[in-house]
Amino acid sequence: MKEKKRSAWFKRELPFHLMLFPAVILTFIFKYIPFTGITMAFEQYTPLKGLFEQKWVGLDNFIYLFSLPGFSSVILNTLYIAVLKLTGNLVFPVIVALLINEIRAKRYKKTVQTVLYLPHFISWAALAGIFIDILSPSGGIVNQILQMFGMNPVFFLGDAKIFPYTIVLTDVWKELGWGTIVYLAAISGIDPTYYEAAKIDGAGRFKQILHVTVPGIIPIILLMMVLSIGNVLQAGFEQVFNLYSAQVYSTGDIIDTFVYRIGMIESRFDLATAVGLFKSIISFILIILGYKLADKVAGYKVF
Amino acid sequence: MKIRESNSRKIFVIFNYIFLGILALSCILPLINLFAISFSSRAMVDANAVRFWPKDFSTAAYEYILGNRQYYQSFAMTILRVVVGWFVNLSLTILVAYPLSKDDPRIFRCRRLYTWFFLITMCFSGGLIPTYLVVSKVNLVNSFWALILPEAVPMFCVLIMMNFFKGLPKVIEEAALVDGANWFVTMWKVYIPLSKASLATVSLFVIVNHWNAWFDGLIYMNMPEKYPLMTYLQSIVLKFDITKITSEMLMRNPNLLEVTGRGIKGALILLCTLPILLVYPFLQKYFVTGVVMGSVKE
Amino acid sequence: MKSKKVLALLLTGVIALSLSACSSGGGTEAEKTGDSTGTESGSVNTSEGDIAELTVMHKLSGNEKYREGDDINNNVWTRYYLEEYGIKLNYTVAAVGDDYTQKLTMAIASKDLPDLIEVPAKEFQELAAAGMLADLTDVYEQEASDLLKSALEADGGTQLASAQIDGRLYGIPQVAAADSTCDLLWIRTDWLEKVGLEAPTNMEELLEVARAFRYDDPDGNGQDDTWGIGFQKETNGQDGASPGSFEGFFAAYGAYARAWLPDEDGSIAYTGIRSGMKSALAQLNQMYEEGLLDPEFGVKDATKLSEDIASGRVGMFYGNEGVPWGAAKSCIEMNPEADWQCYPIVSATDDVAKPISYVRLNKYFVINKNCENPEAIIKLANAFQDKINSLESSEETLNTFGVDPETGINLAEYAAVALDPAVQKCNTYYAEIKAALSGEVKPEEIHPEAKRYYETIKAYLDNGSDKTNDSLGWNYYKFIGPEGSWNTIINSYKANDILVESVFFGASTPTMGTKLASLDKMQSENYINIIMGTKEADAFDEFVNNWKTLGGDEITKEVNEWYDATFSDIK
Repeated sequence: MKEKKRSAWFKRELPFHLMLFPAVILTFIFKYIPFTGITMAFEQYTPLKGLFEQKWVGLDNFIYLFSLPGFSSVILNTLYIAVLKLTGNLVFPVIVALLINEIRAKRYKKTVQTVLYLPHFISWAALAGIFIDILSPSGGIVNQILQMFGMNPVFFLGDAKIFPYTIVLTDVWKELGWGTIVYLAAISGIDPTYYEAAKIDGAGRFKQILHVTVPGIIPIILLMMVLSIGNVLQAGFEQVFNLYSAQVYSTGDIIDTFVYRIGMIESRFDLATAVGLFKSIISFILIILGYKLADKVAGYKVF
Repeated sequence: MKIRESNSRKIFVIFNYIFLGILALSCILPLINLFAISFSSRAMVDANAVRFWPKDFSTAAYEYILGNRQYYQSFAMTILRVVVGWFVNLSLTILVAYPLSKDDPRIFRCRRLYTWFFLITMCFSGGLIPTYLVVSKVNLVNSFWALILPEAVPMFCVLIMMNFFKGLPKVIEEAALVDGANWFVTMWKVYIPLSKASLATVSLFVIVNHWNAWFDGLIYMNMPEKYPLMTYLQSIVLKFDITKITSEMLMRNPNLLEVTGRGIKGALILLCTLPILLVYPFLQKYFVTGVVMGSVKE
Repeated sequence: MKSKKVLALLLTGVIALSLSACSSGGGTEAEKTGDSTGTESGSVNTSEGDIAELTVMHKLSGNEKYREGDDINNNVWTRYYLEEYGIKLNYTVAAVGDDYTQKLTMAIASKDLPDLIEVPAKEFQELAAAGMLADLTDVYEQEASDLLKSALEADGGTQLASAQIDGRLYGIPQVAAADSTCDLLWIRTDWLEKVGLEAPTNMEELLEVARAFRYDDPDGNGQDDTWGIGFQKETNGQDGASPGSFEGFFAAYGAYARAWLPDEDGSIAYTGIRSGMKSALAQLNQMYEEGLLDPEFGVKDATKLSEDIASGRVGMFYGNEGVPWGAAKSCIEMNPEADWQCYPIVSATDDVAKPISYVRLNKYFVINKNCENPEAIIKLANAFQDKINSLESSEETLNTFGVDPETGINLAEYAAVALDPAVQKCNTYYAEIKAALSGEVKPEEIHPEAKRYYETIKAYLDNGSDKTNDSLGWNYYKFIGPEGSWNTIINSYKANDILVESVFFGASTPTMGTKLASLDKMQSENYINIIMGTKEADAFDEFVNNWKTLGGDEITKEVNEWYDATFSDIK
């Protein structure tokens, strides 16, 4: 009886295992095996020696890293930029979504949306080239416009004080249109009877927005906020890598660019891996936190 | 009261239209500026005289790029990776999402295990260098497959697809099973045809991702001929440093400064970005539904 | 329930085991059979017709252009190497700039070094110290052609010496002509005419010209839109800043921003802290207060300054000999009445101003220790010298292996082991062109490469020096013509033996690696502050003290050690 059950069960579930098999293998090779490389974080790695002949130094790499004068600013930069981005990418799309919602003319509305989505589709490789050109203190259009208003040219990408804000604003600009999609969908999902009720109560359009629309999308805003907690250390490698330069390292160097330089250019693999590990652990804790909060706040189960 | 309302409302509406109009313009103007620069002569660009219309019309920049085999090679490489990547990513997405969407533990007992297996990879990573070393050890460095295999399972898409599958009524599945179909057939003949919208969305994400990817090409490809388009763009536009040119180089190659200017960069950016910019407006409805599906739950 | 879990675990375990066996097996397989980037694959099949196959790692400039059907592995050079020397090249890695560094790092990490590699100074030291490079001393002695030897040793052997360790040669340095790329004073001659002044011969006169350019409306448009003299923002940057360099100005006071020179007592010292620098900065501050300098120069890089030059806002600056190709050319294209001329740099003291030049040696060609044909590198180097740099080269050879006049493709761009003599060829070319123009020598008798430039210049002159229509001719004329950059360099600088060369080059010393970046930054900030008046000139002394204590003294010591160790044989 038990045997029959077992073979039946096996027959039933085998297809699932087979379906998952290719993905499991690929994931194992390209995601799990690299995990063993984490040992580099605890070794003093000399590239010219073999993989197993490295010297174990325990937490020395971490101690060294944290005592490096530049390192604390790398962490701070990452946090600063990432938090600003998260805020910006939360606030602005909401506002713009609300504004778009107020447009009656359908064609104008559709056109504006289509155009706003545009930057999202451009790779940072190309977009960085565009920004380097238009933000240039010499020939850049932006500075030319500023000068028309009598202002001095601003060194958006070369001034360490301004660079983080350039990074945040350009990223917000890029993802603005895309971000509105979710909120517009949520807005359109609000029961029209609420608006009716508000109108009857004498609320003008503005009050309607304030008391109906906004509360109606607060759940989704909270959800997005909470889901993005896990990204607090993702300051945007692709963007920063293509826009930064030595003169803005002090405020623009983020964890991922630091890891790239230390690892692939200066071949300090041990340090690079240590930093990566540090980042992974913190991100993991935050992601779990975020997902649990999402569950509590909005009953949203990611998986 | 009504009159006051409609006045301030009118003002608001006007401002709104203008504001959004400017915002939308800000998304197009940089491209127009680049377009103008790419069609202007070098002297004009150098002296910074170009705004939104070409001055001293010249196609030199485009001739240079299109006369260079590299552009076509990279373009072909990108097309190849988009097509193959689309197929691989989509297949694997379905193959993973389907089993994982069976949240009834009686049907698939190991589901939780597999789910955790995949999800951990979303949070943790071995890091840039260990991953590179693995790719190198399996001999994929400088191979086209290095652009496809390491990220062959797109977890974000899996989640979207998974949620979609979960949302399909179970009765359909049960009906098929009763008819004697096994899981493969059910997936192929029942679920997939019903998921066209979701598949379109996933396809879109995957295609855009592959088109825009540049970093993997940079670290895994050893020869520029194998660079996908965006990597080529990145390595030329963002790398070439004019100050490193020596007078020996100039003497031999008087056109050197001509071709490294902003005109070339602008033209190349446009040539690499235009394809996807021309395509996406037509696919709007798909990604709108897709993003919504992935985040807003009823 | 339990059995399912166990089965699941077993399944995962089996998969894991089989995979690890697979991947490690795959790994060793790759190493054994020697894939295209493996070190073993560069083996010789001397039995099969004496062809040596070498895998190559090459740094691209980003400008390479190929003929129809050619690519990096198949072009006029690779075919020549195969026919003439029996060397087959297989390029396995080629990248531009930082990419190349990254790929080199990864290759070293995954032990995947090819046979022939181009390495920057730092990696050269590392690999040599780890014993991974082939000893080239003997093959150099035996196989190097006379032309190659003279090219490499033209500067007295200093650069070659840096490639030696304990007297043995481990690499071929890509010697960079160190006797040039120094500052000249470039002035708009039409402006000089307009304000009625002559070219300056000392600092006083230079200041007069600057004032006139600033306040006497030299472009005659009635607007206050011209600067006295143009500088860009890097006071001590690593990459030569031209146009708008400071070195030419500093030289007027016997100081330089980043050179290492022997002091009175013979030891090497940093010139950025010399007392003359204080006077130089004080003078610049005075000029700044007078309004002669663009107050925004601190945010303008060389490119931005070039724009100012091109659009006619700057009429005087220090720049290197290559200026005719860049900003000045755009300028005359935009302003047909403009013309530029170079002059020797001026001095502020009774001593003549000595322009500084820096050795830009940053690449070594090396051979992997495991390669069985180390002499190949010498043969490849010979080939380049033979085809491009030889005085015997015919015009046809140059067209086939160098720049093809029809297509404009520079085929020499992808020659393996390309290096120009340690002393600029322009020295000889200039003399030859001058002689040919004056009729002393027949054009056919001079070097074919020089002949090309001669013809361009002659055409320009014959057509009435029409720079608007023949800006390229103006280019060459101002560069290597009888009044061009090289005229000044040779007849003024070299003839009077005033060209000075910074003696330190190559890999950074240990302390440089950790401290130089912040020291450079401190220097740059202090200089700019003094120039702009945010700090008093006396702050310079404080800077000097800080520089010394925060690592400068240590670095100086290391530089001296390096100098003694490297050049003890030649000195």
